[in-house]
Amino acid sequence: MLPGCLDSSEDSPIGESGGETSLEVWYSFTPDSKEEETFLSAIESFQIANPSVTVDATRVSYGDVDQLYITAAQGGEAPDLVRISSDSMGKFGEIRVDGHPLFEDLRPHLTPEERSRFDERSLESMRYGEHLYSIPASQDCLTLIYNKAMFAGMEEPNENWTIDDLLAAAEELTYGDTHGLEMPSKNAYWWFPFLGGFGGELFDADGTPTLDVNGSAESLDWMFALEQEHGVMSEGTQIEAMKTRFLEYEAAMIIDGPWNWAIYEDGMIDLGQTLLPKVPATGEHLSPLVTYKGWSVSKQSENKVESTDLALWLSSDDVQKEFALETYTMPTSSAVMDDAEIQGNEVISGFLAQAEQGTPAPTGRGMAMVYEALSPAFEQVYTGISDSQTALSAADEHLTSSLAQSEVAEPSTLVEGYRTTEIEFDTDGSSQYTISMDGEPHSIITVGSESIVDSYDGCAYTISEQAKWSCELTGLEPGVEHHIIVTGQTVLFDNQLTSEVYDELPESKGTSGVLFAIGSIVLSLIALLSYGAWSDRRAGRVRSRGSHLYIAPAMLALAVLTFYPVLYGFWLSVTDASQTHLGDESFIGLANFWEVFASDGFLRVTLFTIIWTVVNVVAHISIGLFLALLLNDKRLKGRVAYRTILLLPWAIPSYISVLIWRGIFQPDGLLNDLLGTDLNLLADPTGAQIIVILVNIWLGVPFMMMSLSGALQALPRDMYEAAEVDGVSMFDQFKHLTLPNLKSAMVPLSLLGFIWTFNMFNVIYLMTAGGPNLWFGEPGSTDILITYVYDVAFIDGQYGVAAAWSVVIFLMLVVFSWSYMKRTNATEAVS
Amino acid sequence: MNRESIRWWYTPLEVSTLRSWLIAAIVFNSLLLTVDWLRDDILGLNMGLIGISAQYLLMRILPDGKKKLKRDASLIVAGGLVALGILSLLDSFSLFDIWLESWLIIPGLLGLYWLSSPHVTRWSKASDSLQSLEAGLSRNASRKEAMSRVGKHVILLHFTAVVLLPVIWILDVAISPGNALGGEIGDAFTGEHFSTILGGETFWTWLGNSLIVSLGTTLMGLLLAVPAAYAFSRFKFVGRDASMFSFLLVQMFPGIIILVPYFMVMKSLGLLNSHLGLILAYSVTALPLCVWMLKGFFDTVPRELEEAAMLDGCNRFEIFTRIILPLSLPAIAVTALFSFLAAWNEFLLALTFNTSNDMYTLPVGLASMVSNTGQAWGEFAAASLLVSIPVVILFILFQRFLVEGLSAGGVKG
Repeated sequence: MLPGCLDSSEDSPIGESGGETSLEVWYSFTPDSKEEETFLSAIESFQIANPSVTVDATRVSYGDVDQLYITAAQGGEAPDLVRISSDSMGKFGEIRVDGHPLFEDLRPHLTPEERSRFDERSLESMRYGEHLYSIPASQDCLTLIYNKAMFAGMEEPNENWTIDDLLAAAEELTYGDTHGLEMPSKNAYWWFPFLGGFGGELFDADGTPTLDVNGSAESLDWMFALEQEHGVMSEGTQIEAMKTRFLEYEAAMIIDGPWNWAIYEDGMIDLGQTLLPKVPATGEHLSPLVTYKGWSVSKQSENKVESTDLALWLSSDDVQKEFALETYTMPTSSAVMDDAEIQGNEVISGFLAQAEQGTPAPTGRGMAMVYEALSPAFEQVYTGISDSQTALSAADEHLTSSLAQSEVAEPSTLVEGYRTTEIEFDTDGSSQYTISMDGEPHSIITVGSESIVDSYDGCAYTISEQAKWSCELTGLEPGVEHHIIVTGQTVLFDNQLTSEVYDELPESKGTSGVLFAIGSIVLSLIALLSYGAWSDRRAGRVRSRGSHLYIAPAMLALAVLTFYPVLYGFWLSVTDASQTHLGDESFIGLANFWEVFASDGFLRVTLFTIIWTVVNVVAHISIGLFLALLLNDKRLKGRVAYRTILLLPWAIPSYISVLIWRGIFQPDGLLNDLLGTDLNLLADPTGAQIIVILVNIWLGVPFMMMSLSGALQALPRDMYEAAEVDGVSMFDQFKHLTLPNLKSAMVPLSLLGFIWTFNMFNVIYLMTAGGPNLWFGEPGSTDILITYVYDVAFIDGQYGVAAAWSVVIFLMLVVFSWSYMKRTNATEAVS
Repeated sequence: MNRESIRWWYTPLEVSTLRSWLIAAIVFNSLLLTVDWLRDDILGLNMGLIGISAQYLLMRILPDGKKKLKRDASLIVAGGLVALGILSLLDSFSLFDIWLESWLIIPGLLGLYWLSSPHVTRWSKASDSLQSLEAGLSRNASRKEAMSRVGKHVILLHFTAVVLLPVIWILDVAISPGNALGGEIGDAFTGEHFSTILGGETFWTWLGNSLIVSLGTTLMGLLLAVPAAYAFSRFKFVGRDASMFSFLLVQMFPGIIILVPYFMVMKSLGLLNSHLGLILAYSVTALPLCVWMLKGFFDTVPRELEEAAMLDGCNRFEIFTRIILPLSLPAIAVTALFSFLAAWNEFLLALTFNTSNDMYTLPVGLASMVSNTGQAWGEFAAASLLVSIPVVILFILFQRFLVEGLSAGGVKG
């Protein structure tokens, strides 16, 4: 069934922008998966139904989509439609670009009829405050999944189980390498079900954090005891390890979501699923966090009407049902949930039953910060530094204070009258009135429900001289005549209405400012170079004639692309810019720098950055030089093969090799297999520090080896021959011949190596994300300056402070490099 | 020459080699103590310490050609090393442990074998004739290089193993059925992941984009860097140091923080979703290294050559193409490789600037394959191996320049 307003757009092929419309959609389904296939066929059918609209769908990695969307929006290039998750709502909610929110408030766009198709909870979960920022298309939550074959002769898990039954079964099923239960218990997302089951919740009704009351400490203790006391889970399990162990019959039960069901099915496992067990003390089932995935329309979209149509299409009953049956994606439409075919499907109905027991993810600002607050608390409890009550109280306190400190953006307002119109009609004493628009049902008003939550959800009843209903109708298309009929016992209103209010797009960020800035930079650079050339000529340096022309192309390319961003970064560091206001920031002097130097852990993170950099650079150069010297022997057999193999760490994208190394150091990774140990080095602060350094050494040696191999070719060979004849020892040859002659290559290499390593983001971010983090609101053990700046900018959203940190980094490097250059005379040409 | 003076500076190659290898073994065994420490294995730690002491002892008492006693003592210690290694193996036995203990056993065995060879015996008893001494000297000379090459191979093989360890794991993930990260190595084989990727159109599009961008970056980077580096190396001019430093400056400001203004620059110049945009951005990223590296290399090309050429009537351009460039091939090869790889593996800028599927480069395309619902690890691993193949091929071609770069000394003379 087509959503209502689609018909109207067919009636009037000339939309807001007139003629052909092109929509850009970002989605994050797995490539070549059934999800993607189903999604693309839905897009296809939408285009057939709406020939005037072309849809350009782009797949974006799930982990990157939020940040990428924010960057694009801040640059004024957001796609029209994007798939987001409800638990990211807290992250997006306060972000403003030039004073505008990221997403279009969809309340005026949807008719009450369209909204009533969705499960109440799902729609509520897509709100931030009163705004409706997304149309829910699916939902997800954790559940208990088990391998039936491993329960041979035992009672299989069922919905009447308590957590004691779960523990008893898990104990019975734990033997040798096999564990009864697996889940990544240090991940807070897996703790939320326990919190709910023990009677706690993350936030109370006002959005105040309640992390340390109502059984939260008991729930954390109980969960950690599974691994640490009862040993029914293996040590330090992470998500990937849980999947692997379950697939290899090394785990009987896991707590996981429907998204992995297909993988387990492919793994030939006789799967069972049931509700998470009950907690005897409260009588409640464990209550997982339910997150919703929905489609959001960008505030910057020029085609909001068509984008909303597409969002509705992608969450329509037909599409949802197809998703549910093809991919076990849980629907959000009430009709689809109750559909006989869905209810008849054991898997999907089981998941839906679990979702019903779940708690919808809170969408407030606090939700975006809760993981950051809980992670040190978990770390402290897990390592036994403090007990759960103390740690959770500290987390609660930290979260409360960060919430209090976090800036609240200016509330956004709706364009009055956009896609809405007001009608008035007399009562005729009926108990129910039906409103239809262009022949499609629009809304139903039941007498007695006048007090309404949302002003876009119905009508107000006024009793003046004459009893009247006045209704704000939503879902109109600007400039299009709509036929509205209100029926009570008789037709009370029958009229053609048009809303002439059009969308007000955020003033698109002009590029002229940037172009002007670039232009000025280029002109001043040309002026500088000309001045240099002129004074050279005046000084009579004839030999260096034209030297400024030689460097001009490189300097210009550098200036055009990078000077403006760097200068902009400097500007940000003295402003109050943050995610709540970017583009309208104001000058605040050096306050940000004060915050940097006063922040807890500034010295610690700087110290580790220096250790990290120095150890890495020294190791890169010494190992690189050692290998280059070994390989410089022309008569060594297999030299090309060695070089090629030793190059591999540089050739393989670090994205994958770092993840592989992380896997190697996991408790069930290769390292422990080799050593026959059971270490979890990445969970140990010092261990993690050593490992990130070792991995970065592995990555960086090939580059130095190659560069120094190149440099070795320039060494005067005859000198060595002379030295050999004179019987100079190998060591002395190295010290007095090789090293001095390599200096011209080594100095820039070491300097650049220093700068790169100092600002090396990937390795630490992918390996540990700065963790393990034992301190609230401070850098983690393996954080270096750059990774910590990333958190300040993109998790806390404090752009000004992050820019100040960047300026501090910049100055540290400038001071170091300048003195290094002067000491080594690196700029001097050989005379 | 008389017998005594030859004896004075003759040491059989076996003994001197054994000495240097023992040093390496001691260093290595000390590092390996970490393994025992990680294993919390006190016995192993003690055995390791005893082994290291024994090796040190052996090194000190190696025969010096004077006292016969030293050789016998050395043989006993060497035998002890072998025994100690085997004893440790009885405790825990795996491929890894065999390798571990081989650092005790092999020096021991070599000691036993070499020190008991006839000419070492003769030498240690100081009973060798002039003739046999001379034979020993020539044997030393002829086998010295081969011996040191064996040592090099041992070291290089160890480095190779460290490099290959994760790569083998990637390969295993890529050829195992299913999509798990981990599991036993080599338990099953499938080519499905490779065929999925190679069969999909997107991979080839991404590969094309990556090739265009990377080759473009290499070319552009060299075009910009070579003249600048030449000027920095050869001329003195106003603003020289400042300009050189400014190349470094832009790399010091953390890039991730200024992503949005960078995006705005690209947008203003109309370079979003284009190859040229990325080529320019990467060239600028690679510039500092290219300029500094090439400058350092040009510095080593002697000026006299240029002056001579100038007297012969060559102009600057000819000097540059005929003399500087050929002499700098190794550096140019390295900078080209660097520019290529900088572009080939870059992720963040490509992700931010090129947001259309047809314009994705390989790293971005690969990352888009990882999603929340079931990571496609198998395909991801297969794809990353495929990504590194062009680099490996390119590198093998590049090797020529690294090896054949003319030796500057030859010209200087």
